[in-house]
Amino acid sequence: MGDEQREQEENERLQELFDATAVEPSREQLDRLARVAAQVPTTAGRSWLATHLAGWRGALLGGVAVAAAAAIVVLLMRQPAQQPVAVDSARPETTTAPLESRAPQPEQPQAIAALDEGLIEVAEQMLGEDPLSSLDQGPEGSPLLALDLLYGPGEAAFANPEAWSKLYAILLEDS
Amino acid sequence: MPGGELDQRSAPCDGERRHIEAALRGDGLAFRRLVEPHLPMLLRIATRVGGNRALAEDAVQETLTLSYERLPSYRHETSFKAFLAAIAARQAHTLARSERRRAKREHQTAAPERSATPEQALHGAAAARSVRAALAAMPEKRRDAALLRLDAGLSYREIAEALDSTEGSARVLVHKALKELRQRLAVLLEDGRNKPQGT
Repeated sequence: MGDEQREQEENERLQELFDATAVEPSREQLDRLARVAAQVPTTAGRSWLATHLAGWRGALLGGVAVAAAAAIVVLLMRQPAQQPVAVDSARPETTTAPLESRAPQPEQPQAIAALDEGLIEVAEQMLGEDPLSSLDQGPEGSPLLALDLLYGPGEAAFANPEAWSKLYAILLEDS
Repeated sequence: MPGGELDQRSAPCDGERRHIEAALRGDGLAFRRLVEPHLPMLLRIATRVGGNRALAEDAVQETLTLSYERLPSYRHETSFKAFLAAIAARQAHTLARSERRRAKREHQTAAPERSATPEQALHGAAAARSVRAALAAMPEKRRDAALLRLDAGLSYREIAEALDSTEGSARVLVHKALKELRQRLAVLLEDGRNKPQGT
């Protein structure tokens, strides 16, 4: 018997051994797996969707975080503009900036917005000639009247006594 | 017996193609019809590697899911049976490996191999364990080639497709795999030769 034939016979016995030791699946097992197979396109599709939604969820959260950060930056940038004197009051030139801008700010109350140029000039003259006199000009002796006439009451900078006193000190020096 | 049709490669059929296209559109029944004829083969591979029915069933279920996910990349000119068998072999090995690691962690050692009589060896669980142990001791690619040839009954060409190699390489690989198996299982094979036919 040639080597090739012997090898072929041994391979056949090997195949028989594999067949003899293979486990025959039960009908129930096959039916169960067939039912699983019928569900696979649905479940696999769902997992695909879940995977992609998870990706989009991450992108959305990232977008929201970026938008929130941008909003905070804008708010921080707007803050100094609303408090020009309080922030830069240490430098004399900055104190003049609000005086040059005589037009009422849009967010100021209606009463202040209605102030005409003449009234503002009067207030400036009062400060220029004798700033101390303005202390007695307000209703019920309020020292804020003159500055209120110029800048409007209730502004954050003037609601802050410390900022107001710094400004007042500068005005006294200038006069 | 799978070996009986070893070199008769199944021709691509239109029905299979239609089922694949329908399955890709989400038709569960089409996918079931596509894989149902191959379930016994998938279970046989998975049980051979895993050693128990529960693990084998898990491996086949994962094979079904993986094969559906990879279905868009399936090439119609190749054998769908080989496509499934390759996934099943890899999946069964992966599950069996994690099962062994889990058992090791939990100090659950496998039952010791018992020396069986030739009758028990050929027809009993001991023979199945010996075959599984012989396969497990082989290099991965050679072991897969033996599984695809002897348990899945694939032709050389289908084995080449499953292992992503040439038909010539598949022939050499199968030859080496069977030779190694014959040596490792020499005692069992010798007992089988001496055993009278029909028992």
